[in-house]
Amino acid sequence: MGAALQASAAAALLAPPSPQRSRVLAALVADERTLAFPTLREALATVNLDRLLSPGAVAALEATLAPHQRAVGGDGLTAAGRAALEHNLVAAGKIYANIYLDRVRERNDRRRGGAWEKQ
Amino acid sequence: MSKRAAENEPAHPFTHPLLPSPLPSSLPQLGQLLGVSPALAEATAARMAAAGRLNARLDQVAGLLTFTAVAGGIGGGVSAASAAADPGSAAAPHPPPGEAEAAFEALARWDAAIAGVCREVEAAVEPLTASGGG
Repeated sequence: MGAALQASAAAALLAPPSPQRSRVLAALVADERTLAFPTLREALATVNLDRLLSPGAVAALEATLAPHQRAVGGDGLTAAGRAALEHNLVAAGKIYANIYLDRVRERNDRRRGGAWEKQ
Repeated sequence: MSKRAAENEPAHPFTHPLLPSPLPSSLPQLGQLLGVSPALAEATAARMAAAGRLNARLDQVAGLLTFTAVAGGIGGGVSAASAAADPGSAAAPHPPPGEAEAAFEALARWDAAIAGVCREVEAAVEPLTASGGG
């Protein structure tokens, strides 16, 4: 009986961030029957609160998915990996005002006196 | 802080109390934070920002991703597209046009109606499965 609920939770987690998805996630988190699936439940709560999904959580989530949902796409990411990446980007925006793209340029910026001075 | 104020950008509710004055050394690196290569992180950020699904500006010369204030939630309205077209201007959040707001409300009502139908189907199926042992 929980199969449909489990499938809808997985589908909501794999969907790209959007207001519709946020509504579905909120509805799923509010439904106490999702407590029957601890891994999915944890991921739902994390994503619903705009927190960062850890690689461990993504791996655990991936293990609960159907084979076709675990397929690796053209960018070398699985559906879960891509969804987590996009979610984490949005979540990072809630935590940080700005962020470095890579280490090399961060070091260059520090040598020049920091990124904030240049804005 | 004063720079933000000068830019006339409303501080994000979460950014503000947590990071009153972020030092450059405290800024993490995007790829590391997301657990992917910097190139993939940058490409994903660029794709999402261009599609209006991420409220951010990408400065490839400085190597910085700057998150802009959230106006109407994720992918909120037209501000993202116009900001992408003119990255030089400060991305002042446009108020969404009334038309878009009405469409959004209609969509929300539609979603609520579907949720209502689903709940009723669920309420009907649950006693059936409980008695039938399906």
